[in-house]
Amino acid sequence: MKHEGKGMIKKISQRRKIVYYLLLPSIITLIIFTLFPFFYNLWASVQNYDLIYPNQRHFIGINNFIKAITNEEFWSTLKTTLYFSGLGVILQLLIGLGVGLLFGREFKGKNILRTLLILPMVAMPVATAYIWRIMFSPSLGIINYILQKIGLQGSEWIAGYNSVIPSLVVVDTWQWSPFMILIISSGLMSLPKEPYEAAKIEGATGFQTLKNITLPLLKPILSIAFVFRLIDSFRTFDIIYSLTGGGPGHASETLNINIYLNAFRNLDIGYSGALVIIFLFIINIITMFVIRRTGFEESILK
Amino acid sequence: MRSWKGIEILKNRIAFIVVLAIVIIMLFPIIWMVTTSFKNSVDSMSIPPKWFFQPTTENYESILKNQDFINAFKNSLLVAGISLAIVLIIGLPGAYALERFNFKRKKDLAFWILSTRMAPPIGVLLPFYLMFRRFNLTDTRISLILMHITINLALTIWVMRGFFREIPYELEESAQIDGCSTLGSFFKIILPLSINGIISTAILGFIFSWNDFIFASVLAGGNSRTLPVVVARFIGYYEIKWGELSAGGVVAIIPAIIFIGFVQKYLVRGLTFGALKE
Amino acid sequence: MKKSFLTIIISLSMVVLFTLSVFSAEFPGPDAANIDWNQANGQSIRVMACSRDAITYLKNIVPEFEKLTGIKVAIDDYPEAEFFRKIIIDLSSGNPVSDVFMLSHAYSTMYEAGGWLEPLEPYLENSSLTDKVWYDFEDYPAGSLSAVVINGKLYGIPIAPDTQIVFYRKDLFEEAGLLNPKNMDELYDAAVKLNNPPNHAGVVLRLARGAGTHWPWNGYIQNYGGSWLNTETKRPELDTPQVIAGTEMYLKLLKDAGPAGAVNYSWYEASSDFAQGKAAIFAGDANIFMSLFEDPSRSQVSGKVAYAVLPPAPDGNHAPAAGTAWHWGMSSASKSKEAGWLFIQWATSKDIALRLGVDTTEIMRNSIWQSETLKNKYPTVPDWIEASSATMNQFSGLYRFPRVKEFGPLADIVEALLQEMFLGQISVADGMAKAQAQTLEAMKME
Repeated sequence: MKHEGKGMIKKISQRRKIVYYLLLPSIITLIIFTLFPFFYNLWASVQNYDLIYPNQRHFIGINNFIKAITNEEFWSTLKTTLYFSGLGVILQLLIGLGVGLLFGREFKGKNILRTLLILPMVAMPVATAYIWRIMFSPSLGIINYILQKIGLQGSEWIAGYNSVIPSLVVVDTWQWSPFMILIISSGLMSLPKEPYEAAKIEGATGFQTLKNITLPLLKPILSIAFVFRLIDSFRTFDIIYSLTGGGPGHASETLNINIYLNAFRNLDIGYSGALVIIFLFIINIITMFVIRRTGFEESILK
Repeated sequence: MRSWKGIEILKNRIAFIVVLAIVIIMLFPIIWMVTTSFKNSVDSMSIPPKWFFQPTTENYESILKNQDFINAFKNSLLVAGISLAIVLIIGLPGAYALERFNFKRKKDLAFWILSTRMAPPIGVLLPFYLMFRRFNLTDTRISLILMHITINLALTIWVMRGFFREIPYELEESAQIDGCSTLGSFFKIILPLSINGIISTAILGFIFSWNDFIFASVLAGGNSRTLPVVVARFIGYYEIKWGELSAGGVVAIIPAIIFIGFVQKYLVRGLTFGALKE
Repeated sequence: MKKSFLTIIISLSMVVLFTLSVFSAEFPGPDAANIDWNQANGQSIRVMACSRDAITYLKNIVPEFEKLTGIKVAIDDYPEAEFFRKIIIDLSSGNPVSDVFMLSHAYSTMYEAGGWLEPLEPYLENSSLTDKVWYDFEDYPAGSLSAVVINGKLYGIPIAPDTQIVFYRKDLFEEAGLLNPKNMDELYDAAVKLNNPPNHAGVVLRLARGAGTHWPWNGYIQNYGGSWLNTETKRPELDTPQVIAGTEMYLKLLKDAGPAGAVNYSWYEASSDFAQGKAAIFAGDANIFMSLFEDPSRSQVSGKVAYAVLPPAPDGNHAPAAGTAWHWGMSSASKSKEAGWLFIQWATSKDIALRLGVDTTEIMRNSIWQSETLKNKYPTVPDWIEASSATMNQFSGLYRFPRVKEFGPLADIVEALLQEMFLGQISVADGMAKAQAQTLEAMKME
């Protein structure tokens, strides 16, 4: 059923030219605007390049990379990044799937509720980050106030060494679950009706339908949403920087924050360039792995 | 049969209640922002926050009188609108080509497109600035439009591939047997059937452009500032202007709500491919 | 009828005249300067600034300058973090858009090392550009210039201060029968005694990372006789007993009398807690918070605050609190330097500085501190004027921040470690030894 159109596609692919017309505008745009920054970083990564002394810049080979991988700080920021992104993205996927499925049911005011649910993503992070900072305050913040009112222990939130990353994940999940919800719920709506009708006739339970029909059909969209969220979560800057600046100590210093500090605080363009390259390498590997695992590329016609 | 229907109705009710609860929790910080935007400076500073207060519109009056804010609002609309339109115009055909055609190194190309989104913004600020400065485009809306096209293209192409994939091949095949050209089937079959995807992508692209702060704060200046850059200025050197910050945040949400509310109407439920085929 | 109308007119204009004289006649305005303000007519300059009250005020009155000189001025201002990001990218691009920009004391050495700064002395000494008598440059406290005199050359003119003073709640002190502390130990005792959660904390101070915490902390270590770097050799001295003692006091105050979550307190949390009556002592931050604390529409403590210099360490008489400034600097690549200088001169001239200072409390010149206009504008807080100007004059020549181009990384090392020491991840002695080692490494020293 899946690849019935194979013969047709072959016929289409004989008219190759049209592919180029369709793809060329995107490719040209991306080449113009992403190759220079990439090669700039690649070039900087093998230089001793202090932004203040552009004239003393010189080639140092892979020294910046050696500096990174022999540096405890680098590994701890990488761990922090994986912790933050892994926890956040999985939570967001689960929430997105759960709420997306709920939106599959019929109830009043669905469109309004969906629009409202997208708001955390729409609201400007520059404003909401400060609101979260105030809400997280252990002594005066509203969150601990409510928790204590209902008899729960408050937390130190972003003021605690161990609680800071989970707290930032709360903010990230608040902001970006709507991304998952939006993509997943519109993906669900686009699914064809026929398989469900067939399942109903066969008397499948809700769970069976979910497992055997919904998830497989939704897989392409699910994996894309997951991959994009993962990439963006690796690059999270605004929220972490405004809420903690990487602290307490280095407890919330992600790789991205570390790149920022090296580039704009230490002005070490060479080292931060190397970190950008390493960052790209890591996120590429992870993305490739995820795409392989979800079989996204493999499901395309060869 | 009737009891089955009853269970369905009950399930729908439960879904509604759960969604409503989630919405309320998720909206809490937004409600906070909205209430703060109607507080005077004493109430907005007060700790713990006041939930009952005499509302005032002074913050809105102040930002709407602020010429910087009005300009930024226009800039944001222009930048988000134009960049989104261009992204869709060049990205949708690209996604279609990647999804429906077969050619050498297609997987690599697709992955390269995805990788253009991976660079940390903070790591590419400097080369971008040098590039735009070289062509005298710093402090212009054009530089921002180009940036936002770049950051949203990969998203558009990949998300739309996922939606295009849901459309069965037979539909196109039968259309082409009926004499429809490739482009014809793209416009007549693919685009209408993936309207849900186009809407979600448009919403996301709009939001990413609308809220971009890092690129805007470095590449825009003077007359090309966008809303996030101007709203961030309410966080001063030794003072946070909560009222104006919140009012600015609320006003910035409004176009997005209008846009999302408007396009959501076109979300289509459960496409019946069968009907189309016949 | 007509007569009384005339009387009203006359008396009104008398009032207006009187007000005008109080407000601006204390120092002669730009018209009194013996230079040709029109010499750069038709040029335009771009000014990049960090958003603070002084800049907001200048932006409002800059049309006066444009009218006076025929120079077009575009002032772009950004919040601090964005400002630093933007200015460093712009200056290092080799083709900066900015002609004039704000220069933080902390980064002047760095910008100078990059060759991005134009020496200003030639402009100051050029009698066709500057009326030295009218401008009265000697009016600036010597200390306020020490950060921008590098290798004997002047690179900046002060525009706005960061002067560290201490804020006490008079009413709470009286209730508890306490007097203003005479030294740091007394301040600590008072803070502990007044600590009364959840009503109010004993003390607030900054401790957040990336929020300029190094700045009040530096005042503390100086106070205990320590120094971040040796002013002569530029070698870090973070593991000396003096620095450790100052750091210990800073953290001890917050541990024993600070608010919950103190580790994330920036100037914002600290000042708003104090303004809302949630803290008894704000133990060292910028003097300009006075205008927040004394504004009854934003503060619950107006009229209840005492202002004082940071009390000395118990063993005596060391360099006092941190006092620093922001300056106007000029880009060495600017193509409109004369126009840029005319703007700097105008914006920092006595008359403008008085109007700006009275309106925003951002005051650099000694004569403004002594001015009657200022005293009349702020009659209820003579102790604020006294503490601020005393601190400013005390720091003359005692600029003890690291004058090295690595300032940014050095400040971050200290701020991250302060948080770790506060949370007990590392002891103060070990923490400062680590700070010393990391600082040496960052400066590529042995």
